[in-house]
Amino acid sequence: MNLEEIKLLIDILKETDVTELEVKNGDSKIRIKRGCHGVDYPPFETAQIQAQKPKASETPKEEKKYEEIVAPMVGTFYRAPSPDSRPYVEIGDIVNPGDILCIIEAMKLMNEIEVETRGKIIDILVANGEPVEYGEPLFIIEPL
Amino acid sequence: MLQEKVLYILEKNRGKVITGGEISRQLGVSRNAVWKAINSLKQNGNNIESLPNKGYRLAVDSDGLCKQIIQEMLTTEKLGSRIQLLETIDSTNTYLKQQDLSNMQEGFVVLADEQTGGRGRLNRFFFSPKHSGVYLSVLLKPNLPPEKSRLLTICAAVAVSNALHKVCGVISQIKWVNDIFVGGKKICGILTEASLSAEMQSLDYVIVGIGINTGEIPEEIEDIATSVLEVTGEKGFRNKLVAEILNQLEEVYFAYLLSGKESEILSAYSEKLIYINEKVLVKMYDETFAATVLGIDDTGSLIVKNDEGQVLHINTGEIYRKSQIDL
Repeated sequence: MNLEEIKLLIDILKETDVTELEVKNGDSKIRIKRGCHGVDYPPFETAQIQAQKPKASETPKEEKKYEEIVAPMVGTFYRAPSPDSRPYVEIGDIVNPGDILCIIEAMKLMNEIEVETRGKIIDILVANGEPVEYGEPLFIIEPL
Repeated sequence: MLQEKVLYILEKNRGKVITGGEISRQLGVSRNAVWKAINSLKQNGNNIESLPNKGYRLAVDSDGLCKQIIQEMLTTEKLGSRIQLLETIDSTNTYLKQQDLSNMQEGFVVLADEQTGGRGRLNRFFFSPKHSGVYLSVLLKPNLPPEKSRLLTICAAVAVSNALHKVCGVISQIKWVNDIFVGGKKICGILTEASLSAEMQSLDYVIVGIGINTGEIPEEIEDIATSVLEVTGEKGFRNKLVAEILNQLEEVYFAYLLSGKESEILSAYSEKLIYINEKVLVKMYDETFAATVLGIDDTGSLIVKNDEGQVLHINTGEIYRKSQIDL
């Protein structure tokens, strides 16, 4: 079975309600499964649920597992209150409402970015001291 | 508090003699209580003369902070409607941030006579000794998109510069973004801190922290720092300065916020900008490069030209004169 045929199968699957498909063709056998079951990391698009707000029916619940925290403004990203202090959060930390995730500095206005929901830090996407653009993803968080 | 009331009466009669009997009659307390209050006030840095058989006199240059006097000089509606005066605190910004700000009204002011841990950007130390400066933080709750909030720093710089001129006759310049300079030395630093909700992408509050040197400047920093006393040779401005900063800040803040006259504030700011057409060092988090200052753009970013001839709009970091060290 070549790549084209596999792609075709995936496309067919997408248009239906079928979530799992197994095809045998001679020696080769392929099993295609839709959704996030058993996947460790979500596909990138699923994290953008905040901005996109897709209808609940379109996305299986499990795909909403992760949320993205984006930059509310242009500025410089700081993970700690000063160069020699510990970062506000590390990957794997549990954060609670009101906890500070980072500072974004824009023209000497130090903006502390607070989280409003309890969650676990899955990834930190920007390095300390880096410039960030408006809407740029900063953190991936798993709401708890 | 009795001390505050006694100071208020002395302030109202600044430079004049008032008898202990008169003060005790006005306040309905014993003369002994007045005497005690005056002694405490003296210890707190108020220059009160005790003239035997005559009474007390608050010296013209006495520089004690008095909440009631400040509030009487306010023309504001919101800023300073509540003032908390502290004798000593680590940092007025830190103190304010620790309060329950969601229940606090916009315009709340924390004022301190001394900061033991005064800090600037990225927690750098800010020199703030007792009786020798104006150290205050103002709570704002602007209904602004986060992207616009950075102009508040610009508002604060303009307000302080205007207040220094009006109260002390001092002509100052602004070093981008918000350091106030007189004669090439720093007289005031401003630290603006905001809190934003990550999910809502909205501003919860903004705290504007202002520190002005008004007293003696120690030798170690006299090349880079100055004060109201150094520039004017005078003391006794602190209460007036606090009030005028709040008056000016309310004006630029609301003029900017309510009527959206950003360009007016930016042009007032531009006129005060230091180092125009001069060579400076631009210091970002991990890089430093030489450039010439051209001005600011309509977002308040600094426009510079680097040695390769590229024109850049800077919205982070700081600029220095080549020989300068940060205060």
